[in-house]
Amino acid sequence: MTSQSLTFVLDGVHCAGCISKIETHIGQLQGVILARGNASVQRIRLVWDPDLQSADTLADQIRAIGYEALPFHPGRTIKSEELLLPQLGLAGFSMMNIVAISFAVWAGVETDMGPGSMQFLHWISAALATPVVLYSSAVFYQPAARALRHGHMTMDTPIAIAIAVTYAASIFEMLRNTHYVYFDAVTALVFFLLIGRVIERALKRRSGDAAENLRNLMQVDAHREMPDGTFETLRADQLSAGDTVVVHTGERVPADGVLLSDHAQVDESAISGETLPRDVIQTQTITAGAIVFSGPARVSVTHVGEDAQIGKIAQMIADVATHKGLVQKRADQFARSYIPLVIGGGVLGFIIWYALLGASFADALMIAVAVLVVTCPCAAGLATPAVSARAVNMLMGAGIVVKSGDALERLGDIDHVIADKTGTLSTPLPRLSACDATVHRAAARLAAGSAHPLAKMLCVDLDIAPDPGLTEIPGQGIEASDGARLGSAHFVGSETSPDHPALWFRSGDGEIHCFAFAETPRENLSVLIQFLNDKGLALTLLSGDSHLSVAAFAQKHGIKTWHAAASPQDKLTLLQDGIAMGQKPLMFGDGINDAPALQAAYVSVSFASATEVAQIAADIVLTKPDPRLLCRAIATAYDAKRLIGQNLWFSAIYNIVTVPLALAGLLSPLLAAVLMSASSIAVLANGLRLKEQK
Amino acid sequence: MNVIIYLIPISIGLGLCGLLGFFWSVRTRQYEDLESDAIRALSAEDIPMNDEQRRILRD
Repeated sequence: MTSQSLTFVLDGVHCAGCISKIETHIGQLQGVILARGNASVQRIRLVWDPDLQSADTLADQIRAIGYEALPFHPGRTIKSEELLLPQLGLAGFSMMNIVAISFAVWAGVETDMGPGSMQFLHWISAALATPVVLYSSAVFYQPAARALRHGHMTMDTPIAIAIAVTYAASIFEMLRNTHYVYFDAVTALVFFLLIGRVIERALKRRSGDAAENLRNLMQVDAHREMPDGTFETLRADQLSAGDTVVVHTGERVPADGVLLSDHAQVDESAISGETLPRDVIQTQTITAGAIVFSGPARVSVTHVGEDAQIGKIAQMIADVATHKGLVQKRADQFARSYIPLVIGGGVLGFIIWYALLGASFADALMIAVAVLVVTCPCAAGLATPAVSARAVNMLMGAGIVVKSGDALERLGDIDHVIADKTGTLSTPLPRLSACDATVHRAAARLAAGSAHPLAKMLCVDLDIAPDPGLTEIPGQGIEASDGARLGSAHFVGSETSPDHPALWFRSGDGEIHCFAFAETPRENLSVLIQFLNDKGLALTLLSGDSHLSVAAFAQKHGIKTWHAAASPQDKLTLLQDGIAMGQKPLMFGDGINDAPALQAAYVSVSFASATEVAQIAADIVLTKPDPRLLCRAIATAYDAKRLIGQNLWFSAIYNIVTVPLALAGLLSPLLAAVLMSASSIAVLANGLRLKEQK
Repeated sequence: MNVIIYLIPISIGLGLCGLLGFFWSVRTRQYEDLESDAIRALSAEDIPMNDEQRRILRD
């Protein structure tokens, strides 16, 4: 079956309730394969059958239930969302003036103010309140009215009703020349609700910046080499695979590719976080977004735009939280059944007070308005995203890409950790064991001319220029002009061959030395092991290596349980058995052989330098191979889980306390608006308590 | 006390001037990037923007 897919940017969506409404509405349409919304970035991804639907018909369907939908083209910078500052400014200005005037009226009612003066002040209040109701509160009533025309209700419906009812009642009372006017209440209501909206939008805008920033790294000019040897300059996204581009010193590589020049030095700090420049030699890959230090570099393009590694990372970030969290699902359900209750509560309050308790029409109306306002469920809707958006954003800054908010929540629930050995807990390349310094320097003069991984390991920390006149014999070794040789045992004429990786050196005078390389643990591995111990998380070593080496590694680092000689299938079975028994294992691995286990794990972590398959399978990708980042991710996930729990409890208690108060007539609409905004701000502020983990 | 009939509108009118100033500052995007603007104010160079630069910044 063919399918088409497009992401839409949604306007008018404020909390999880709106997203779930759109998802449900679009999801039930014929031909729609997937509708998955993201409340944090206000986008929805739709996949559909082109025979039955089109992008236009689906956008119309979203509009029909009261939201605006625009197709989102990745890579194009969207104009940042309006912060509603003019609306807020106007509401604040009017509110302060009206409240000042209201004090005069309240004092005047008790003392000797004449009806003429009072009416004059009411008219001024009305003149100040009208622009607020018409202009500042448009952000509430426009989406509500759009939805109402199609017979739907949104989170804005109760607020819009409250504003309209209070304003209309005040005008009515003013014309009847009584003092039951509530222009102060209605402007204050709009003002405080707008404060909540402005903060919410500023927060959302910030978290969207990370993905856009990464994308912008790809928006560079490329110099394409034409068949006749000339160059043409074009935008990076207009390149296609197979093109040859030239990148000059200081320029960004426009697309993923393979180096055609002999050698180039690149700064990949934007992609991997690695601050040291990386040496790339001919036929090695070079990633988009890297800065070339030693240009010009000729690159044959392999992946462009969204297909390039950086494009994929940007997409991962944008997809964050799209995969909806378990906790968030609960909040969605809560919000969906909520709106009818809110409006029902308001109507009930009015009927009880007006018909049964004999309150005046105006008083009963104000009670109904207070109920509508105080129950606006934004605190419940914001409880999860306020924390997870910040946590994901913060981890991103620390070099940890969390692919979904769901993964963050699962990371907070893990009960043990299973890790691969080689490449994960130890470095992928073994490190040089102790050796004689003089011989080492002599050998390094040869090694400096080779790109072989072990030869490069030999040169680490030595500032040595390669000997002139080196000849490299592919697959065997390298030879200097004086007859010195560096390479395999056979190449230097040695008979013995140890079972661990080694490099052999024969100096000019015929003496043979062996450089042994031993498996080295990742730097800071002990920090991770100590951290897991402190948190009570058991660590299991799961490796494909021989029993001997795994046992030695486990013993050296105090790891109690280990499984050696595990095939990819063994690894997968171990994870699946654990999951079937109700365990929640975290899998930490880097290889293609780990990929199935990563997929099966409750939550999985990999490195940006790991194989691509492992990265795709993993829920969380560390940009640097530093075990400390995993500690940081787990610690942040624990904190986030705690704060989300607090937020959900808080919003539940808030509603349990305030709704009866409003129904009892103890809350004025103004007080209700302050409480409602305060609850939203409290939830957001609680999210900000999430601390940077060291 | 009849003086309030024109004093109150005048005071509100003065307040409106401030509000218009706020609208102008929002429209010219002075709240877009508070962090770097705060630092820019400290730099020694003080060259006013030309119309073209303003237009680009607005778009």
